Amino acid sequence: MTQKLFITRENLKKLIQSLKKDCDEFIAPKIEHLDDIVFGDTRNNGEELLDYEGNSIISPRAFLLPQTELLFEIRSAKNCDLIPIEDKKKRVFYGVRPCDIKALVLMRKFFLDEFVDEPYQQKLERSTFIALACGKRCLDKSFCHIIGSGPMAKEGFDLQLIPIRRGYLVEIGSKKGKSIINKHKKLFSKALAQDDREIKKMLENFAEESKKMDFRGLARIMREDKVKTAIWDDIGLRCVVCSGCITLCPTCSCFSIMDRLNGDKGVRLRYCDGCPYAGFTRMAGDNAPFPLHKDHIRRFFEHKLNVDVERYGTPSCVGCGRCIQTCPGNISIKEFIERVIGVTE
Amino acid sequence: MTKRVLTTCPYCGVGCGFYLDVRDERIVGVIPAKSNSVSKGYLCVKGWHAHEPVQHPDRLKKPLIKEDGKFKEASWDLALDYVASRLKEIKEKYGPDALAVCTSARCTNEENFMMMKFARAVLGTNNVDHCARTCHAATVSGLNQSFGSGASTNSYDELPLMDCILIIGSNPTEAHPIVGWRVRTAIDNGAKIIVCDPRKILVAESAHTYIQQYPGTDIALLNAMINFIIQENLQDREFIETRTEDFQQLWEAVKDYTPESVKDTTGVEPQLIKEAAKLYATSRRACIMYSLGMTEHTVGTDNVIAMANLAMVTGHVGKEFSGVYPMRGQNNVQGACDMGALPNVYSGYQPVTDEGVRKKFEAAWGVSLPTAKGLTLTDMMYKAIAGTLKCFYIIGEDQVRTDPNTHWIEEALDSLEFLVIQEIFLSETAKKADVVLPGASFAEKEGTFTCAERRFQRVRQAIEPIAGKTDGEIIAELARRIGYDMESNPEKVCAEMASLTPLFLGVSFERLEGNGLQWPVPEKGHPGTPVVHLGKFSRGRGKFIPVKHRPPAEVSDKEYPFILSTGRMLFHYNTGTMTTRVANLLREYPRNFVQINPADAERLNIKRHQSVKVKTRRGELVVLAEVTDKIKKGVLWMPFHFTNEPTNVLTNNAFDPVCRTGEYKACSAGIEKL
Repeated sequence: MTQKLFITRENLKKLIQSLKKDCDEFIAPKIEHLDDIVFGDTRNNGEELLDYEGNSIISPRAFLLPQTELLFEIRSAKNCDLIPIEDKKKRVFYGVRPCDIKALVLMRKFFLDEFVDEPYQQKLERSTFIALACGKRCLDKSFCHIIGSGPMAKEGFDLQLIPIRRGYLVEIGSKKGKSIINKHKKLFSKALAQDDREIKKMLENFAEESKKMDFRGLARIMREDKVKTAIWDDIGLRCVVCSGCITLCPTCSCFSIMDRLNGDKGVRLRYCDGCPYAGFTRMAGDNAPFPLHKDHIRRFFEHKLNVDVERYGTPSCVGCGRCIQTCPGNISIKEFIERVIGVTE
Repeated sequence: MTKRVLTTCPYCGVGCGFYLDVRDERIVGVIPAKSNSVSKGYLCVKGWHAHEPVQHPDRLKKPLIKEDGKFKEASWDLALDYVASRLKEIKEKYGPDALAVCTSARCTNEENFMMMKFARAVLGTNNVDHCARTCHAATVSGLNQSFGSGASTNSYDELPLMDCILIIGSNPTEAHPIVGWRVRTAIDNGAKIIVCDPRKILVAESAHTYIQQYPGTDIALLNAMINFIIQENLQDREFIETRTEDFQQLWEAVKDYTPESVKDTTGVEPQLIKEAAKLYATSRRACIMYSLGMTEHTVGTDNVIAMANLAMVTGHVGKEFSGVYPMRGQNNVQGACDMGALPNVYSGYQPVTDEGVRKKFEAAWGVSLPTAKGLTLTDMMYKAIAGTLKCFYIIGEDQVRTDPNTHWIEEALDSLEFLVIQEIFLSETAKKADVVLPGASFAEKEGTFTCAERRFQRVRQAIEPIAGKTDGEIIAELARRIGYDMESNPEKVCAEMASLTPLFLGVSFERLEGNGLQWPVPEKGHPGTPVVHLGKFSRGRGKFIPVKHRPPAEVSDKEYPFILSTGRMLFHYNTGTMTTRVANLLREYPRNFVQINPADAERLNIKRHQSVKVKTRRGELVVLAEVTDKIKKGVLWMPFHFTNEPTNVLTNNAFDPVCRTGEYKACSAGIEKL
């Protein structure tokens, strides 16, 4: 860990004001309606929450890979005359939770390693991420502490703020983060020994209630197809293909492409797509490699907890609990993990 | 520029809340609202994609006037002047009752109120109705007679805490998914579910008792349950004694309906009926949930009454954690009824034939109002063919694809002198219009919807109207051109409505800001009413009305040996004008199909995904076969969402004599392999 700095709440507000001047959108948690917390642009209204409990209903993914995204303007379909629609907005993401930071690390691998996805890259590279560590667990449905993505981010942020009683400890995670510090030196001071002790205490509190899961063991059980059939059967009966899990999951990267034409002109866009749909893997002649519904939703679990462990060495479920919170079938990936590690065939 | 606009889902009657995610005037997605008390952060697949059709290139953007059989784009002024002059001309020539208005259960309460005011105060006719006629009119007429109020008795949030839920003629998972979530939660909490449905729907897989009756035999089934409950002394004597009347008449009617005696009629083993009856009667917290499987019959009203009888016999109504839940089909079909978009009542179910009520509206609106009840949608079609109805102004309703017996509906619409359609897409009905006025979708206007638990909720504008005007503005502009000034500001319309309607007196935009209000809201500061009939039914005592089984208008015979039933699927919505314009929804189910039991399929040598011809006395349709053991032998089932393969060419327009709803859920049919 690099040397830690400290910032007071008042100075953090000043920092935010300064960062806002230098970006097009300041994406931060804000209150919508009664008590919903949703990431939104607060650049011009100052509605950002400096600190908050829980997490945003949507993750930063909603800005880097929106539910629907225009890719090209089709000037003439007949003549294949397309021009890319670019999003070159400079965004600062403030208050991103460690689980979502881990998701960004995984999404970067998917979209930028090997094949480069330009629309994603364009937005990611113009973005600054300021993480906000969790002082306490958010929902009973989240489980970052078990899966190892919280309460503090290990990498993938430019700056990380850790709330303590007298303000925030600040951790630098990148060159971009370093240059923010250099530009605003006056706002920061050195951290004190007592601050470190406070953090240690916080981590101990988190650790107390958590037993890290054996994700490699889980992946092995899944790879060897040893999950009880009854577990998949139950999930199959519960999933009503709402698509909420794949839309809110911070690491779901699947999309489909469509053209929306009005005569010869129109747009090409991509939109969120994924596992639960039968049509996602249906092939010509109405053939499906996995015709049963339970196997569609199983793909979601296999991808997060098995395939990505093999591919990236870590599960791509980050334990944010969003899919659990939004599932009208009351499917819980947390319960699934507990049941599988507990009970196998 | 990004903004989040909290609004209410435009699909089914559950009334989920979500934010439209707007970036630079484009709606890019949907964010579920956790703080919404109806949906609590849950949505179904349609809700998650509710933004997609809004800015679809197929949206109508300019008024269309038909000349020599072809549509030509026109300016708003030209189109509105033309429509107003034709309406005036027809009214002067034939009298006001030659005109009729069909409002929309897709539009806001305020627009429905304006449209019914337009019919009554501007055109001078009570010929105003809407699509509740084709769905829950039986609920309004049935529950009104039994309880004194024709809406859901209890609230959604009681469902997860029930001990027993009797689901009959309703498929919550597919048709009302976020109520389906509550049923799922009830099951997870240990509730026992009884499902009665000719199809083994998803909830049936987790049901304690599953009853697979033939379509159109529900009264026999329900009466047999009541019979068994009384025979076994499981009725709630105290409730019957203190809260109801005419129990003896009920007993006279059901005493011959033993579970054994209805076996052949219903196709259900007596033991199952007994099991279900006992479970429902002896559960502490029990409710009935039903939908169009009960109402879309020639005995729809009686079906509803039979359920009310069952609820009263067991005392499972008129208190918390009990009740009868009619699951309303459209986002605002409850509201359209509430706003008086019906031929016999003003807003809040105030009869047009009541002189005091009429005088109140006359004083408020400054006109004299028609005294006789108007025509129902069903009767409008007959009168159009008979030639006495000359003109129809329809908002947001696709009769050609929605109403039973398409060919007959087309004949009716073709018989009119002048047809005006206000629509967001060029529907099949719109194609028949003389003038098409481009309306605004839910995302382009302010207003309120009322969901199936009687909850008024706000609808908020996310983008400017694509064609330039909201539906309310169009109505007001037509009214002005005919010589009547009408308010179109939604908040003011809501205030006017509340001031004239005792049931909704305490409703205002300001008070709906939080999580809406459940009616009755009879005073300014009234907190709303989650459970109605508490302690006392709206009509005083609950009334037992004896009803008897009558077979559907058509029973199967040699030529048409099957019973055809129809319904809604999870991935599509009604005529599919919106859902077929959502890529993933269309991909899941791009085409129509017919479900047939494997035993029937084998006998007829029909295999999966083969083309078959389904025939009824009214028409025929070629679709793909889906061979599935989820459907009862002798029954066929088809969805009605596909405009290119329209199921309603087959369905029967025979209707319930009380509420005039067509019999979509049972007609005789034949099927053959091609």
